[in-house]
Amino acid sequence: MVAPGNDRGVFAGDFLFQDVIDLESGRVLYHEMLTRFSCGTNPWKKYMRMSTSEFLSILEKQFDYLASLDMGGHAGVNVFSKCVGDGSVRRLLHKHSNDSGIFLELSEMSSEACNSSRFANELELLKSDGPLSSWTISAVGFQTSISSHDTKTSSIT
Amino acid sequence: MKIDGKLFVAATENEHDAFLVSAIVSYMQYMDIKIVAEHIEDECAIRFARNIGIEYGQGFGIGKPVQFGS
Repeated sequence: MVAPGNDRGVFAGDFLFQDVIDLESGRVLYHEMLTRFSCGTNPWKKYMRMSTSEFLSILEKQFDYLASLDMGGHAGVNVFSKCVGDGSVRRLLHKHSNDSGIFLELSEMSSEACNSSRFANELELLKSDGPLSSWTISAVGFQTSISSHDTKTSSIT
Repeated sequence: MKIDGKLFVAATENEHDAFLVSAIVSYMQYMDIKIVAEHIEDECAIRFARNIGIEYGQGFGIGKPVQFGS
């Protein structure tokens, strides 16, 4: 089930998954895909060099196992912001969302990403257009048109 | 809603942040919004989270990030 590597050196192992559990029962609710440097791998430089379509095709291979996409950290957010604007992220999430939707987490956003109107517009579309069950921004000093969510952790559901 | 890991850890360490997180949890319960706490590192953190009404959690004390299939 693991997506194979390809000739650009991209492997499913670059993507890490962490369980979110019910604290009462111990039941696993979903696996979150992490994109953070702090997870012990630093694969993102090569993804940053990819075209948007290449990157999305890599993400798409992981979506069967995905309920939550954590794009926290500058790398993840920058990769994400690179892919907005042409609707491709939105189409991808629509294609793979299920009844429970997808949780998108964007933390530690760079000021460059925060100030991008394209980025803010894409988030608004993702929210209003359906595929996300919720999204969270964990950032201080969020400065765009969605600045009403300017707290350490805020969420739209 | 996710409680940011740094905020959750701070809440386990001092009363001010504990009060803040408890207030957030209460409001989210009123809004019928589920809460996930990040950075749950040990049994104490699990107990703290449950005591203030957090239902779901994530952290190294529960499960480390792994490659798919590991």
